[in-house]
Amino acid sequence: MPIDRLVFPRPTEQFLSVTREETTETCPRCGSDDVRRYPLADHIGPRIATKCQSCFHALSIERPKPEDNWPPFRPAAEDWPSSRAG
Amino acid sequence: MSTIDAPGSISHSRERYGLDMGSAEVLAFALHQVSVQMQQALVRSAFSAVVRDIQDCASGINLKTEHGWETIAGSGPSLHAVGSGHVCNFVMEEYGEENIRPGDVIFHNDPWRGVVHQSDVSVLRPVFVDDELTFILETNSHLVDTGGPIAGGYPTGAKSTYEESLRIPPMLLYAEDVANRGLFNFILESTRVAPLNLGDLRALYGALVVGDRLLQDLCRREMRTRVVKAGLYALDTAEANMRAAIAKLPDGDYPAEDVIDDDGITADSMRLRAELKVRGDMMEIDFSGTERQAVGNCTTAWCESTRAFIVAKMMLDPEGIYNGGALRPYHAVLPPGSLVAGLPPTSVSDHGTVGLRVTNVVQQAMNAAVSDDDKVAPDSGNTIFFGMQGLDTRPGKNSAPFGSFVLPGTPWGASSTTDGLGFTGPLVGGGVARSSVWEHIESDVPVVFWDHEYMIDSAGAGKHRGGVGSYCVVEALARVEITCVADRVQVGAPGVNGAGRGMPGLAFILDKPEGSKAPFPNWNGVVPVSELTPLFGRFDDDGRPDPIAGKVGNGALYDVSKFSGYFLEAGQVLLVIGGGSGGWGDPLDRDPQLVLNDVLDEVVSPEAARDDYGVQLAVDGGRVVVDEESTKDRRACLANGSREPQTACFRPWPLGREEWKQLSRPVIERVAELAG
Repeated sequence: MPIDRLVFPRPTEQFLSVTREETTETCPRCGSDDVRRYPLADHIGPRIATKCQSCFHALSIERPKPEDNWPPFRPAAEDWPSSRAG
Repeated sequence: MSTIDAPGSISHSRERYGLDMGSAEVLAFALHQVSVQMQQALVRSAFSAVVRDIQDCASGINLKTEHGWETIAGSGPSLHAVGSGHVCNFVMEEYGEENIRPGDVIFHNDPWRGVVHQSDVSVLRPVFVDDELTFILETNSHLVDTGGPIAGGYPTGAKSTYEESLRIPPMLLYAEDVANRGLFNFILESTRVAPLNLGDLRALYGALVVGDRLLQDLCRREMRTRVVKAGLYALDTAEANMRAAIAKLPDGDYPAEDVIDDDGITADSMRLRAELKVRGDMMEIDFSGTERQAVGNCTTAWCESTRAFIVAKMMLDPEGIYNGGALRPYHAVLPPGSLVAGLPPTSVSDHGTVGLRVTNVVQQAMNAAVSDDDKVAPDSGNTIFFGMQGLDTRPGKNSAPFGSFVLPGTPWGASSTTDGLGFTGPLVGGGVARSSVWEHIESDVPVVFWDHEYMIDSAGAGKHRGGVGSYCVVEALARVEITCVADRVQVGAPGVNGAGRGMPGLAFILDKPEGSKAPFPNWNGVVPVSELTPLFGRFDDDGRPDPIAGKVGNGALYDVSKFSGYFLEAGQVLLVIGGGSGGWGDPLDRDPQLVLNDVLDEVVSPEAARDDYGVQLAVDGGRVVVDEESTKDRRACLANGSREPQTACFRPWPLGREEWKQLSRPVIERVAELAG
């Protein structure tokens, strides 16, 4: 529910990192099996990428799903029907 | 506007876009000109000094492509102009393209929807051509006041958005060109300077109307499909140029680190870390390892960190066309909850501290990836913004509320070809955000600006020296509440290839002597310690500025460099010294004649010429000249010793007036004394 994604506590860890999740994919361009899935920002906005770490070929760049939690913030009424006034 | 190699060939442009090369270039340039005209209309018609003079505003044209909305042309500071695509995608996705009509204008100022802080408001307008939604225009600017405790939008001490200005999600500001009175009332009745805000909001709207009319005209003359294809051509050209430039870098991972001095709550510094990863014609900047978001208000939301891409663009493809297409081969990896991607409700009102330093750290990572000749020292990363608010008790002002802010300017770093520029905007502003115009500030605020000049010995020494920092002297004519936001106070901006660091920033308070017209003895920003009350900075135990051995906050009123709520009483004077930027290359390799020129211009002292550059000056025939033989010997001697790059600062800083009088004599007298 977007209403639950409006406020966040300050993280407790001092230094933060983005986890690049391993996948079972193989890069179709260079053949590397080091293909990872992770959140990033591109020229459009927040996205979830599945990218080869050897050549940066993008196997997919997807719009994040709610469970991806990226970006964590969501508009409160995001899943409501829209109207002429927004 | 440049063209590209492979994709930009004549046959390619015909095949892919159905345009001959000349038409593609001309139409792409015409689109760029529309954004320029929008920007000019915005600047010319705005009421506030922040838009009219500083030009903290931008205009963009967005086109829907297979990826989403992309900025095909933008004008203004890169921070805002290249972010137009991000804003457009957030707003269109949320508002719904099906809900907008010709003449609508959508307003918002939410940092988690693409602007950088609530003070930067964004307005968007659809352009329908032949009844088809074809473009989204965006203009944005810093409003002087968006409500909350502090005018200007930098309420230092705030920890959450609830403690600061209005945060408005996408809403209709105009419906089919009729103003939404409810939203206008809400904004104008919740802020201090309604006339200025109304003038600026109308300017933002007017610039959109200018862009709409120009695009309609262009599409009528050239056909909509041709104009759209030219937009795609512009995006693809920028992408191809950027990919070609990235491909020249060696593949690898290039880390860099920097620190933020403090968050205005505690004096603890915070780490920024970036790792540039290059693979073929793609690059990533991964900010993993960066400190968690600050308690105070200096964190930034993710968009601004992504736009640090401008560094890569300026270093790798400075001449090529610049639009959203250049961003396609660039990805940013941003840990949520960190300084570079703060989460609500944390305050991001002082976005600029991290936002500017992010470009510094990315530049340092880029410097690790390029050849020595291609390295560029970062800009000073030291904005020293100060805001002013209160009631104007001058005759005829009727104690009206005022609010304004001042940017004294940020110098750029040196490169292999030139010294760094002084008195300019930070790199992230693309050199377009400017210093304030003091006469206009004096009209709005009960203050007098006595000086805004180069600060002597503030530039990092190098074969090419860094940009010279500036100092600013302002006297209050009535009670003025000051907000200050500064960084690079603890450690100066770094040089490259053996060059020195720039001078860190600092500030003082002075009481103008009774009956004195001039506020105090001042020579190129050097004032006797006896006249000064340190406000913030790094000082020795005698109160002299000392960026190396001094202690932060030693005897100063603040141990942090960001604060609100300091009251400058009538007759009190604020002296703010902005930092210098770093140099490029060994200072002993600098042309001695250039060092002499800097001494005569009083941006380098004779002592610094001798100690930092190894240049011995002499007086010959009534003129200051370079003593070639002594310089050669001195440089050989210095080259044989163990040397560390210096941090710039005027030394020895005078303690009292007598010492100051000796130092501030004409250069020729000082040189004669040193030579003797």
